[in-house]
Amino acid sequence: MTQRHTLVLIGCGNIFETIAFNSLTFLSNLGSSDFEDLKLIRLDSTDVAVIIANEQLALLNPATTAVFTAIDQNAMNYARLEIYGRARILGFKSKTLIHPSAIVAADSKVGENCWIGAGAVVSSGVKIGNNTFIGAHTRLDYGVNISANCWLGAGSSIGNHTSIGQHVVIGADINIGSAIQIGRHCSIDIPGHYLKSLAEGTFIDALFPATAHIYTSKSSHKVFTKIEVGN
Amino acid sequence: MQSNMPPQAYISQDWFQHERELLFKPLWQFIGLKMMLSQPNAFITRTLCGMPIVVQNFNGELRAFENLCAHRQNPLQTQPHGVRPLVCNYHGWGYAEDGKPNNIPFEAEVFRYSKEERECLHLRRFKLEVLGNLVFINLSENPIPISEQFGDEVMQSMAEASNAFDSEVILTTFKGKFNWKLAYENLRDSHHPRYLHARSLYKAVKFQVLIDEQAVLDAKRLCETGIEDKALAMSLLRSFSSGGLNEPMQNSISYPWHANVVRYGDKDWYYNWLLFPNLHIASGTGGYSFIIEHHIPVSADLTDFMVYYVTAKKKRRYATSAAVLHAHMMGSEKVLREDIAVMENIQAQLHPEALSPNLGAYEHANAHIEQWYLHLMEGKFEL
Repeated sequence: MTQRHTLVLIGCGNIFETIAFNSLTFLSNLGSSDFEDLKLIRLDSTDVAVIIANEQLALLNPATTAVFTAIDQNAMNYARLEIYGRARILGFKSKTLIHPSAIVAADSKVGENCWIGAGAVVSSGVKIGNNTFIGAHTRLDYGVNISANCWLGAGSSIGNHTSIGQHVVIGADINIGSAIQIGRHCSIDIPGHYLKSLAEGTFIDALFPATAHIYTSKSSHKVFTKIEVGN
Repeated sequence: MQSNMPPQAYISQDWFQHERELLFKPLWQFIGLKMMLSQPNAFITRTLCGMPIVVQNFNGELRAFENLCAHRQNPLQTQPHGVRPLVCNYHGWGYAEDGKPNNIPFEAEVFRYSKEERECLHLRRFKLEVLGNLVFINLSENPIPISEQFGDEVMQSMAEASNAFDSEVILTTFKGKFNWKLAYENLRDSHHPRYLHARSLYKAVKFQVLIDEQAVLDAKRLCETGIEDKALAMSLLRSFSSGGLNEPMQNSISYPWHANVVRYGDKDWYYNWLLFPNLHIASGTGGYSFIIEHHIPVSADLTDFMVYYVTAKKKRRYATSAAVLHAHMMGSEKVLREDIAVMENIQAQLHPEALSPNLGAYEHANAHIEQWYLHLMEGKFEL
C-alpha cells in the first residue's frame, strides 16, 4: 500500500500568507502525486520561531513529511534559514514551490526550499541556490547565478551572467544589469537600475541617503565602487 | 539663563570660516577607527575643515597627510576606505611614510628637479594620536597635547571602551541640514528624550535630568566674570568631554548574538561618551554594541552626520554578524531621524534677527560651552 505523504508549509509573514492562500494549487505542481495532505504551521513571529518550529515538527514523521519554510526576508533571510535548517537537521526533506504561471527553463537549476513566484521567468542556464525566494514577475536572464538564502522582490530583473552572493535582499522593481557581481550580505531597496558591482555588505535603502557599507579587516582590501543608479 | 549665542553662529558662513580657524584647526578631531586601518597600506579619507585628509598605514604606522599629490594636487586616494599604497594615479608618484616621494617615474628624464626642488617635495603632514580604537588628527602646526582637550579620565575610559569594539563595522552618513553645534547642544540636553524620543529611545532608557547646583552657579558666574585666563579656558575645555555609565535600562533584552561577543562591562546601563567638539559614542545595549556619531561640519548650515555601528569584540565568527549590524542600523534610524528632524527645523527657521535661546538651569553644560566658545570666538584666548 502506498504511504500517504504530507507537505508542511511552515512560516509567517506576507510570503507565508501568499503561498498558503494558493497552496492547494502548488500541491499539483510538485511533480509528484505522493503528496496528498497539506498542513499549515503558522508561526506568530520570527522571535521564537525556532522553538515553536521544533515543537511542531517533533510531532511529525520525517519519513512521510516534506517541509517548505516561508518567511519574509527578515534578518537578511537568516530567520528563514534558521527554520529551514532546523527542519533539515530533524531529517525532513525540503521542497521547492513554483507558481504554475512561472516559466522555468528546463536546464536551469533550482535548489530546495526555493519559491518561484507568479509570472516569474527563469531563463536558460540560471542557477538558484537553496532557500532563495524569487518574487512575482521577476526576470532572471541567461546564466544568472543566485546564491543560497536570497530574496528577490516582485518585478525585479537580473541581467545575463550576473552573480548574486548569499543572503542578499533585492527589493521590488529593481533592475540589476548584466555581468555584475553583487557581494554577499547586500541589500538594495531603492527601485532603479544598478549597473555596477557592489562589494559585500553594501546597503542601499531609502531610509539612509548615503549607501551604508560593512567593513571588516578582511573586506577592507576591496575598492568600493561608486554605485550608479538611474530611474 | 539668557543665551548669548547670536543666530549668526549658526547661519553665517563668515562665522563658520572663523570658527574653523579658531576652534577646529587647533583641536584634535576624530577621523576614523583604527580597526579600519589594521592592514599595511589600509587607508581612510575624510574632509575636515575643508581639507582632504588621508590616514594611511605604513607597515603598521599610521600617518595623516593632506590627500593631494605634491605634483599637480591630484587626490592620492580616491575612495573613502581601502587598501592601496599611497600612489597618485595621475603620474604614478609614490609616497613614503615621511610624506616624501619615494618613486617619481621618469624623474630624471621628464621632471629634472634640482636637488633643492626635490627636497621641497613632500605632502603636508598632520599630527595623529590613537586613543584605543579611535584615531584623531590635529590640523595645527603646534597642537595642544590631546590630554589637554579630553582629560586623562575620559581618555582612559574611552580607550578601554573603544578597545572593546569588534573589527566588523557598518558605516553610513546622513546629510544634516543644520549647524554642527545644534548636535552637541542636543546631546547635552538630557530633558529632550522624554518628549522627542517618547516612542523610541525613552521607552528603553528613562533619562533623568540632574541639576548640578554648583555647575549652575559656575555657569552664571562665568557669564559675569568671563574667561581671560588660558588655564581656566583649558580647564573648562577638558570638562566638556565626559562619559561612561549614564542611565539604567528599563528592560534589558537578551539576544542570541550576545553570547558571541565579549561584553564591555557588566551593567545593564546606557553608556554615553561625549567628546568635545563633535564625537558621540553610546551603547544602548549595556556594552554589547556601540554607536559612534561623528558630526562633521561642512558649512554653516550643513553637517555630515557620520554614523558607525559596531558590536563588542566577537569571541568567534558567527554567521549572522552582518545581519546584527544591519538590524542595529535600521533600529536606531528612528532615534537619529527624530534628532535630525528637530535640528533641521530649528536651523530652517533661524534668521539674522532671531532671538537668542533661553537656557534652563539643567542646561548648565551647554551654558558653560557657550561662554567658552564665545570667548574663544571673540579672541579672549587662543587654543
